[in-house]
Amino acid sequence: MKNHGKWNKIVKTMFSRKVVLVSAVVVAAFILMAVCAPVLSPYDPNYADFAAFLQGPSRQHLLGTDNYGRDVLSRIIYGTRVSLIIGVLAVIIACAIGTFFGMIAGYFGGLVDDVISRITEAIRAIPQIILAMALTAVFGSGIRNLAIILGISSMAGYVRMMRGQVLTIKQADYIMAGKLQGNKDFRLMFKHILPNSISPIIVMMTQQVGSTILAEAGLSFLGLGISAPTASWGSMVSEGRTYLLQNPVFALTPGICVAVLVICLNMFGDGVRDALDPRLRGEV
Amino acid sequence: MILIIFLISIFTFMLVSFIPGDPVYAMLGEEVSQEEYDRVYHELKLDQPVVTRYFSWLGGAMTGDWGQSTQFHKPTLEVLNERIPITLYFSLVAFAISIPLGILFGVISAVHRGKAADTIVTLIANITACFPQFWIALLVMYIFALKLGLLPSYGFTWFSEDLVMGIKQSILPLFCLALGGIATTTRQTRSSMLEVIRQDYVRTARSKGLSQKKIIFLHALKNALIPVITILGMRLGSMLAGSMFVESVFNIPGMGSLFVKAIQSRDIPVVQACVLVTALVSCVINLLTDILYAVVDPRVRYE
Repeated sequence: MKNHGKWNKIVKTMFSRKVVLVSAVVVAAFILMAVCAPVLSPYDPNYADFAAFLQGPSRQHLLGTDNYGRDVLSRIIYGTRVSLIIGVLAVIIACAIGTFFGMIAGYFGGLVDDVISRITEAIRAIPQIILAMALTAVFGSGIRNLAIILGISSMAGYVRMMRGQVLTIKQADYIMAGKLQGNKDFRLMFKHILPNSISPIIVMMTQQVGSTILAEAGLSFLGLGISAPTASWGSMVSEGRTYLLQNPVFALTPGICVAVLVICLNMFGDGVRDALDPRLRGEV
Repeated sequence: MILIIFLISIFTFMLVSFIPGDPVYAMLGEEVSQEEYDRVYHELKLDQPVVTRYFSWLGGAMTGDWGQSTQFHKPTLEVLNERIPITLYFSLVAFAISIPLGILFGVISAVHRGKAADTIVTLIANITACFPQFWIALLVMYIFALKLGLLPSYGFTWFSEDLVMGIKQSILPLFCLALGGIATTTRQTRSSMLEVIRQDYVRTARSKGLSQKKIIFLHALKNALIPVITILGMRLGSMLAGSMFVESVFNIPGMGSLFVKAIQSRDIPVVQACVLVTALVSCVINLLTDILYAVVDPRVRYE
């Protein structure tokens, strides 16, 4: 019952700011759009109408058609799926791997910590997008592979954050008590340390979804991500750039979608951070 | 740092040996005789164990032998030598433009906190950070090159060949590259400036009757810039990464577009070289940032 009240309070603080509420609504709308894509989109996203290619916006095609005569609006709606699935999956992968290694490094310390920390530093030395690009050469593209690639290339941050968390929590009396009770290391880690560092993990995850979606769009734009004919926002911009003069809407709207989604995700993430940070809630 | 570079080199090497597809076919095409195949297979040292290959590759890399590019049929180092200066030019100039502007905007918005100037600056900074860089590049290309016809939409010319053309072709890419840097620097400067303005010594300076300008630029800014230095290092690294998109949009023959092409055509030596070069540059930048940090902040030296 007590726990229930705590979550209620967090949700309340989170939505007390209008911006957070609005961005949450927009994000929800994008999710809805992704789930209901077959119902919402007026045309089959891959149906090519060769009689009507590169048309401007009209009543039949609200955002016009692309170079194969496919409906741009339908493709954008289906593209939401790709962006959201990859964004969320990659963040979960990064979080799972990164948190695990960070926890081990912080808990055991010594050589384990040294090895994990050095490897993480080496990964961090390569800019994320370049690392992701190099990994696409190994894994290939496609939704599943992209999620793995973006997950791997952004996990270093979680390792660092979790390691720091564990180092602080390890000093706490209840961990010592747990140890004296004869609990195993992994039980202590997963039952006691992990639940106590859940809020920075959630904060980091919500803030990473946006940048992951941006990275996916970037890879797809460069032709290393989602490949034709699957509709993704990044590859749509890439296809459309050749036809900027004929139908600028085709190339430019997917980018606006990316930006709107990322802006709202970031603001929502900020709201989550403010609500979960006890210092900002005025409790400590 | 040497250890990290060593780890990166192992990583780079491993990465590439996991690439699916036969490198011999990638180099010579599918139509190749068995003798030819065996010869190249041996030349690429594919018949030797991984560890041996790694060390011979590392030895080559250190002595400037980066292997033969499979798509250009030239030594990789030669290919890189043509490309790196172009990317470096764009990154460094964009960096040099974005830092002072970012600091200036950050100071303006921190000093006028809560007023219209602050709202506008923070809003623009936050929004530009969320737009994909390639999209901004396309937008400015559409407006200034295709619609208004003021500037060329693609290509690159060194100033020594054609000064006017070179400048014209540089404006749009530099603008796009600098924009991201300006946004991040503005946000960082603003938040650290806000922190500093609240400090006691700023109040003392004010009660001493110093002018607002003197307080801001002599007392506050000096201290506010310390945390900004940390992100400067990261900025230059992401400039290198960002130039990939800008080079791709404006068709500039730099390292970014080389990297993309190398991945698509499985040109292994070039992929390795590009990853290694960027990682090395980032390492050097991090080192410089640390040194600069110690120079600016005396507290760091005592630790």
